[in-house]
Amino acid sequence: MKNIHIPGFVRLLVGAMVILMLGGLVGWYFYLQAQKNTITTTDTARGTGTIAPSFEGTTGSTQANQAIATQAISTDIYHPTSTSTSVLWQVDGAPVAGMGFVHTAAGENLNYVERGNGYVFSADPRIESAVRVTGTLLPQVYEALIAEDGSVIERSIGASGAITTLLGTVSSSTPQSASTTVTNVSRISTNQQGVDTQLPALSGVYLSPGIQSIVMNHTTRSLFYLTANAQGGVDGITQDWAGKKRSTIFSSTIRSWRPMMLDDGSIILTESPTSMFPGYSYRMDSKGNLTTLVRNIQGLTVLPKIGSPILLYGATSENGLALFARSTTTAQALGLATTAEKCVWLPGKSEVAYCAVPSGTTPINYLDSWYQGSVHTSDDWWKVDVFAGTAVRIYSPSSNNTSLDVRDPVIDSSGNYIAFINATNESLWVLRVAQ
Amino acid sequence: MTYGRGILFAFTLLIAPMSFVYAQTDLSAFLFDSGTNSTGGIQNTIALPIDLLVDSDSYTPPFYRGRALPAIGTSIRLVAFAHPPTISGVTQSAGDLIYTWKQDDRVVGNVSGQGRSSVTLPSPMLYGTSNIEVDVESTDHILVGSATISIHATEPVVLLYEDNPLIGIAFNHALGTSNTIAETETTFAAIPFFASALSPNDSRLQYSWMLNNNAITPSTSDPSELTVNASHSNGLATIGLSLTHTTNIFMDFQGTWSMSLGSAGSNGFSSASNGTSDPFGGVSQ
Repeated sequence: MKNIHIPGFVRLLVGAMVILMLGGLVGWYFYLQAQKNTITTTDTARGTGTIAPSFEGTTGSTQANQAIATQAISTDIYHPTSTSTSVLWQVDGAPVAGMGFVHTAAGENLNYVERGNGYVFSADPRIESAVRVTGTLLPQVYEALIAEDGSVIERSIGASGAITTLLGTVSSSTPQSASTTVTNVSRISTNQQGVDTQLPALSGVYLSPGIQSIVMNHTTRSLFYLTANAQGGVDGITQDWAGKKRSTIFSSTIRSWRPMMLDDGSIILTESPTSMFPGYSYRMDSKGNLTTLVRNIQGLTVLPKIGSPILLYGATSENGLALFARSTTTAQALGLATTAEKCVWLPGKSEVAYCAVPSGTTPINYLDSWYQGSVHTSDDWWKVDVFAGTAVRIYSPSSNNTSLDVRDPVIDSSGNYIAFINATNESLWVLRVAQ
Repeated sequence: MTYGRGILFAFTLLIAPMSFVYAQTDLSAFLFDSGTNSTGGIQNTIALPIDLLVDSDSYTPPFYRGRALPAIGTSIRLVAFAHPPTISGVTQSAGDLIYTWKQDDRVVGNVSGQGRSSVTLPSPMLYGTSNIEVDVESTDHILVGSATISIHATEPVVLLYEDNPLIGIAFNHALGTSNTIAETETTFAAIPFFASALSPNDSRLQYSWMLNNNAITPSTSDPSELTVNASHSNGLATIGLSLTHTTNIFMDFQGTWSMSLGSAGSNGFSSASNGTSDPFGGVSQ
């Protein structure tokens, strides 16, 4: 066999080309690595570094995805090295209908209902994880209330256009088939082992359609609701969770009322707020007798404190919003331009409240525009000590490039966590407050 | 009937505990005034605190947290909530009181009288203001109070929202003049706040939808909604809405919204309808 002679310069050229190609590949490798790191960093900064949802495999379940997603968001945005000390945690990015703190063996959890499916989730703010606890699909839930024992009220709009109200409890067994029982139309598909399983159903009974507004004592589950009467006004009805002790204790030609039920059982009736007219607020006893709390305040919003004569109230004027505290005979301006419904009282005997305060000026007729969803604010959190007469800003979400328009804040019994809905997109958030 | 010194003293003692309840009230309302009774003699009167509450029968959507406001063509609803003082030996319920209602200084006789604490009155004309006053007194003319409110007629507010099959109407976010919508196919719902209507699809409301200057025939069953499908388009749309009222010539809303919907494509919209027509490609829904 004859050897092929390859000239030396050719071998040298080929060798040089091989070395150049290898060098180029190595360089390309490091270039791609650098780009990948840049993209990851950018995604993390945007809060989009969430693991893609999976629907199969060892973690293939909705609640697992939920936990992964929420954990990633909170960690990425606020505290990359810890999930337990975040000041702010986005619990759920999907629209939420309502939430409340419930007692569990591990402490208080935050239960909430997603608007698009009516599923009940349970979030542990201590470790920042959330799991789904019901498998009953109920789309278009506009409003949800949560009792301390985990019972749920889910409200939607029926085919006739009337509001439907479901008093639901999480079943411990397969739901029964009955006209008043919610059918378990959707069940979670897999558990962490990928085995078919079923989450508890949300079963219960529907109240009569057309209930305009409903409030609940979170401890006893007693109810007060307003429903249209034949005269075009509303009747106020009390009943217990089981539908017993039903009594009409209030009737009014005015239908624009905002009821509240405090956990001491007292009912507060406030005219629905508007920037256009003065408002009045009353405390109602069990027989329907009204005692004036606040009267003749433009743009009135009210937040009473349980077991105390002290209350916060908001007012509007041509100068914007103003918040007042009243503990004795006189009202004290707190110097905060916000509404009482953006505040929560710290549980206990102290006169401390936390308030979300719009960081900019609010437009004329802000209240009406805010309720209509045509105006949103970017709020900072303030701690108000009414007794000491101090107000201190404790957290500004804008420092993390986050804008939050706080709605429906609730606080746990320890006073450590405030949950609220961001009205802009109805996502659910938890603020950890230092005591 | 007149109150004696003993009753005077008793009532004075009651002022202190009530002062918290009426912290925002002019406390002079509780002071005794001298007046002249029907026989010409001097008698004492007690000023009666009156809360004058107002809303309207105008339309607001379900779950709306604000107040129903009086707009042109709607009615004003008012309640005079009197607070008769509790005085030893004297009982006076709100139902026993005589209410005299006045609108723009004219007594409205058919709604006034004993126990007539609630009334329904017409809203003022467009851009007008109506001053409403209620005078309240006890049958013995001892308790006397009044309250007034000035009501300026507002126009209905028509806002556009996304109506998602799962979420429902996103009442939390009214669409502005320029919007980016993630979905390719979206239903938009027009909500006529404070209109004289029972629902957005009230037969008295006349909807005229436009999409990129092409008229869309409203759905007969759901004329307040418009569904836009941009699956074969560049996703840009200008939605126009004209809303009038069959019995209220003053309601004449005109609005436009610019939309950029989800997917990109080549032509105009493939379909845009209330389930009736396609203004671009002739593709029926």
